[in-house]
Amino acid sequence: MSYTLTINGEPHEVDAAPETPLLWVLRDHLGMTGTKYGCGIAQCGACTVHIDGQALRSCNLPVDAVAGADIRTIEGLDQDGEHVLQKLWVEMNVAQCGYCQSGMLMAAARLLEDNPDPSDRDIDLRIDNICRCGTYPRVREAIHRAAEIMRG
Amino acid sequence: MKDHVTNSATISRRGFVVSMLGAGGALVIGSLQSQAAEIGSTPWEGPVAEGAQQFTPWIAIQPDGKVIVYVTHPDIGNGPVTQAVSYIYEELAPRWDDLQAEYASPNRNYRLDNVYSNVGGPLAYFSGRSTSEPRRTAYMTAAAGARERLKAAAGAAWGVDPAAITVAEGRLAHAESGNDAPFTDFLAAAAAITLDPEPQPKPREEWTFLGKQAPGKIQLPLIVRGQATYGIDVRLPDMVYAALRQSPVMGGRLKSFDFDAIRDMPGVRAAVEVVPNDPGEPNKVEPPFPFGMAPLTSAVAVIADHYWQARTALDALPIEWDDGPGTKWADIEMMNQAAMAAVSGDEEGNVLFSVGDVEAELARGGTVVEAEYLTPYCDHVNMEPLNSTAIVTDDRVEIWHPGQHTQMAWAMAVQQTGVAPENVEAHQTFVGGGFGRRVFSEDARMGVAVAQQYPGVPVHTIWSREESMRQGRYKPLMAARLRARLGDDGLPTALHVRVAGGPGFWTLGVADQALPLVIDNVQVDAVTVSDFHILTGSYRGPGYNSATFFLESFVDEMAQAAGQDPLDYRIALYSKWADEGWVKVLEELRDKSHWGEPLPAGQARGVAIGNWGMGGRANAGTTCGAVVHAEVDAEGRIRLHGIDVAFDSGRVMNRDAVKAQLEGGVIMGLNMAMNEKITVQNGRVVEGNYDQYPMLRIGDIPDIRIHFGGLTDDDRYDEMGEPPMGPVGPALANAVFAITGKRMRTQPFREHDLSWGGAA
Amino acid sequence: MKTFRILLVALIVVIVVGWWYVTRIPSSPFDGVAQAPTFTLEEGEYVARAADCVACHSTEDGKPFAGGLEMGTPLGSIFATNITPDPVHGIGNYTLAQFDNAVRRGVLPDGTRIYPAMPYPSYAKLTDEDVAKLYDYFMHHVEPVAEPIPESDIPWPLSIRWPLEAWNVAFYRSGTYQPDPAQDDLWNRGAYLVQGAGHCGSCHTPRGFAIQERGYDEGDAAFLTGGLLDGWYAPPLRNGAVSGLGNWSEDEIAAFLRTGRNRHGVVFGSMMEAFNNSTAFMTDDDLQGIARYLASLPGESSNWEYDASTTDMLLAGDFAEGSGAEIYLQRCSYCHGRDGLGRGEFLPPLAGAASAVAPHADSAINLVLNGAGRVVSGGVPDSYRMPPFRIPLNDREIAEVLTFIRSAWGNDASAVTAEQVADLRERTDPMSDRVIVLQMR
Repeated sequence: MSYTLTINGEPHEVDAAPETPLLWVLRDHLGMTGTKYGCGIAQCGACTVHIDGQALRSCNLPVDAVAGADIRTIEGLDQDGEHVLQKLWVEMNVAQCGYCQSGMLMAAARLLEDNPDPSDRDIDLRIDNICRCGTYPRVREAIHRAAEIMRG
Repeated sequence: MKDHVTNSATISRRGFVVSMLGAGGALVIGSLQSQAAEIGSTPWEGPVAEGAQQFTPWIAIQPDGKVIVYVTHPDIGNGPVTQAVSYIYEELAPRWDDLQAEYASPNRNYRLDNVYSNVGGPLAYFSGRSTSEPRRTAYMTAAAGARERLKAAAGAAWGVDPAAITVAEGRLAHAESGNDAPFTDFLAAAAAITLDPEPQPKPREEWTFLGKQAPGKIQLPLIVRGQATYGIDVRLPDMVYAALRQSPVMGGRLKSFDFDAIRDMPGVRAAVEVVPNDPGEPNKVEPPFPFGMAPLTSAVAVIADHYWQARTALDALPIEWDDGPGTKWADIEMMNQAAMAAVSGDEEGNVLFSVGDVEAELARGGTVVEAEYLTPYCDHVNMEPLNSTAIVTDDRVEIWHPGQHTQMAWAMAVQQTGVAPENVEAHQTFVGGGFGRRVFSEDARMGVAVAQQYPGVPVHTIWSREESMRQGRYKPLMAARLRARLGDDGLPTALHVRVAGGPGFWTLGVADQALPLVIDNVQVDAVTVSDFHILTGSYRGPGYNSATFFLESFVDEMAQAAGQDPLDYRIALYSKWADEGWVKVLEELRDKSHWGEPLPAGQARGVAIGNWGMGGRANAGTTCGAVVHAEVDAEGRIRLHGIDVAFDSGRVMNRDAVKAQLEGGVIMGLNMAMNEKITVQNGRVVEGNYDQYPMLRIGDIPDIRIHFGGLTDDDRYDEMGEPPMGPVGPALANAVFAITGKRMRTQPFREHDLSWGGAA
Repeated sequence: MKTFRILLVALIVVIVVGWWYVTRIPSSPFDGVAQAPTFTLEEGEYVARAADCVACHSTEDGKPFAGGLEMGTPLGSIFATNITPDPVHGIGNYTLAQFDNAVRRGVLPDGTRIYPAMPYPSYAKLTDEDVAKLYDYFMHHVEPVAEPIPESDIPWPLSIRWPLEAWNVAFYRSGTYQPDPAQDDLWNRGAYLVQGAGHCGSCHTPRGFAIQERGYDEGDAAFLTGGLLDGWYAPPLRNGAVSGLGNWSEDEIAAFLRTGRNRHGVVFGSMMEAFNNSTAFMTDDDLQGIARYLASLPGESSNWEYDASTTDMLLAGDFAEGSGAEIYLQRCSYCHGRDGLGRGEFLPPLAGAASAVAPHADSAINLVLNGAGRVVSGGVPDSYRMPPFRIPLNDREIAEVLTFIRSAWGNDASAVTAEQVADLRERTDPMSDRVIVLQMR
């Protein structure tokens, strides 16, 4: 099947079987490897992208179900790394191996767009990505700092 | 100027470089392949731009001012690359932003008479301790040599005394004459200079950067933009994707598969068999670890245009396996019982340490404490599933691998193919988590073996999450039985420790800890249960991560039998040990954790301590202790209120990097103790994904406080990744005991029913 | 004295006649047929697929039709038989008439009655031709397997089979399917498949006190009104209520049976096996017929309407810590959506879904505990499986989240208790000795 996907505001043509998960369309067909494969069953969150303004797991989203959706990936968060979360992630030395962090950042970005002043509990609820290195304390701290900065 | 990533879509076979820009310096990770080289000619000469001066194989200063640092040890998230450039910065004083790092080629190392692996021996290309003295000296000597050559060249040009020239921010300056010029003005002249003697690295007292500043990892800017190229992100022209399946029962062999059933599925190109035979060629290289630590397994791989196609077809491929003897283990309980039988039986096993007469002392009577413990198989579950990319032709092999030991991956490629070592290259990529899973590099060997069956094009082999989890090289299942006799003061006068596990299980951290060394009558021995078929490997703090649970739970049981406070008891016990760090860590914990201060009913603190790397010596390794403040409700649910950690690694080089490693290690140690367990059914590993292998998430993590007051300032910068894996689990178990009166002697803790009377 | 003699004679006659009756070999239209007709492989295989013989007469790791599948009864376990043409362990020596008696009448060649775990009351409706096709398939196109099946562990005297004839007298109805002239051919074909080979009622019709199905065709009010079996609740297949096929079109029913999914749901549990082994192989016409027939069965009406307030509540985070809504948000919403609507055909909705509003929560509990197997369509296993939450969630949490789902977005089904979850957790744990084994399909 041929699909036109809108990713980070740009149209992309892909030819893929309808049930192909968006994750693999992004990674293999389009070479956008920032979105990571971690589990393939929507458990770990390494593949988190935004679909029509929701943070969702692309490993379990058939391309057929997102044709026509507004898709945003880590490559579209800010190409120059100027998003407040990206800057804080660097400044606060958040990532360790970094593999899960694309998903972590996408989940965090969406959280802050929905909720400019998230409580610890809001973070617990919305950032349930798995990080094996154990960067959770820094992720939490960076989100709080980002919220402060964004609120001005 | 390499200020952007040149991977995926833009690369060509010519000059494939996976590169990146860091905040504070660009790091280039990838090959040393010449920009002009064709595959099949002579690649892998230095990437250094024309006119660059290569003072030593460790650094190169380019005409554009970039300083390239060759790093042997892969960064798995622990920051060794940043540490390497920090050494250069200390001595050479370039602009921080001009520092770039590149992984040092194992091929070049081979051709240049082990120029890199001579420093650090078998661990040279291992992502282990970046702060070890030989590494530090090598980097700093090289940088000092570069600096002094530049100064000599500038002095000659300006007609001034080089000793009066200062360096800063990539520039040379002579205050008196007012001369001031960038390094790059003197590259050619400096290259011609011979120094005799070579300058020595700055003594520690003169450091202005090391140990004083704590730069963040230089690859972070790439990571946060999704531009870091992990092994799974390697994209090469004409690349095909392979989905892999190995014998579901370890040790089994492929009988047959029916390619016709999937031949016509979209994108499918081939199904290939990997036969675990020896390639037949004599070893052409000496591997850093024995090849036997990473045997090839029987496997089938489906190759297709895209991974999803390959994986879907693999799922549809009818495969028959000859399971082998592993099927005798009907379930994990059988294996547990075999291990427990081994520690409670009479077989003495291999004596690791012995002093005095244990049995005579135990027979004296009085208070004798006895307990048995068990820890399960655990998988590393690195977030990046195992993968590698390889091109194999008759006389060349090239592989891209997210490994922890680049030289091992390279040696695997040589061994597997029999191709001349000088024609084999291994490219280190970013690594999505190491934890010991990626050291022995059998996954690199598997990738090469698959590519051998589909030669001439790059084959990108991915182990699905399920394949990665079911074909682990696990933390070994270990049982332990401890017996001690307590003296009048409550401290042990005799200790017998017997541990058991399958072939190759790890006994690090059992006999070489402080506990056996402070008791007069001790025997530590180990029994191997030889018919366990499950393959094991190094898992963050191997041996130590189970041994500390055994020893430090038992110390708590002894304190209880002696009727003493667990922390005071440890101070009394470990004050007999020659390394003052143990007591210093315990005192720091006592003060910072508010030990002894009353808590609401249903809450308690527990403590534990261990040392990773001491090997029986005082003032060695990193001593690490933890106090866990836990709550258990009436239904038995554990809630963590906070964890205090203190440690003694001698000194610390990068305070924030140390803190990050300890935080992460505490969380992994907690997850290991509370959640992780790999089980077996009819020989097959059951768990395949996170739904069966639960992981702590952000909401489960308590406040983790890292305290630096345990440092003794001993002259060493010891390791940080492994130490917290020891004490966190037993500290939690000890807290739970204090609340509920229930001793958790087996992991994972989630399997224990901790319901109790409750706080009321 | 005379009276006694008469009574004695009468008793003897009753016993003799009774014994004859309960062990008699029934007559078959194939009696005396020496040369059974032959068919192509495909013709016989199609009937075997439609009847889903493999579901019970094979084990996961065993050879096809070699039997051995354990089935639990209140008296003990029995094992599905070897129906390969092996002359010793299988049915290689059966005549067509003997085969017919086993399939359609539940009687073995020696007169032994078969436990009605074998759906012969449904297969009774098979046409002579389909029986002959099946016979030809098993005799000539199935590999003989010389393997015995395990002995039943039902103790004597409970293992005596002749009393089963009493069950037959009470519940068995003989006679092949008779088309309803008031309906079109498609409907009749569908009715034939549903009642006969498909034996849909084995799961979807509630069972009575003697575990008989409470109805074998549309004339019975209880037929296909939903049944509870083996830890699963098979929903009603009648029109009307949202818990049945009320909002499914004929085309959607056919698509469900053809591809294993449609916008309302995905096959799971026993239906996944029935799909993987049976309906996936049926022709479009036959599936359309089944759809036509099922859509014609009247059911209870429903006034379910989508209620968006649940979605708003989830978006606002307006729920208690540890509540079902919170668990849903964290564990379920990535696939099923905060709106409960799923995504297209691959990620099924929970709002108004039959599985979420069923009167019995067994299927939902089972699915959450153990996850779904893989739907095999066209020989290819799909990859959008429901993961098992046996380990990540405890009994209380599963009860909370299911109670939430069953009352969200307009769903109005009963609460689930932690005790219900605990019971199924133990009975569906492969490590448990209380594990559910198949009963009757």
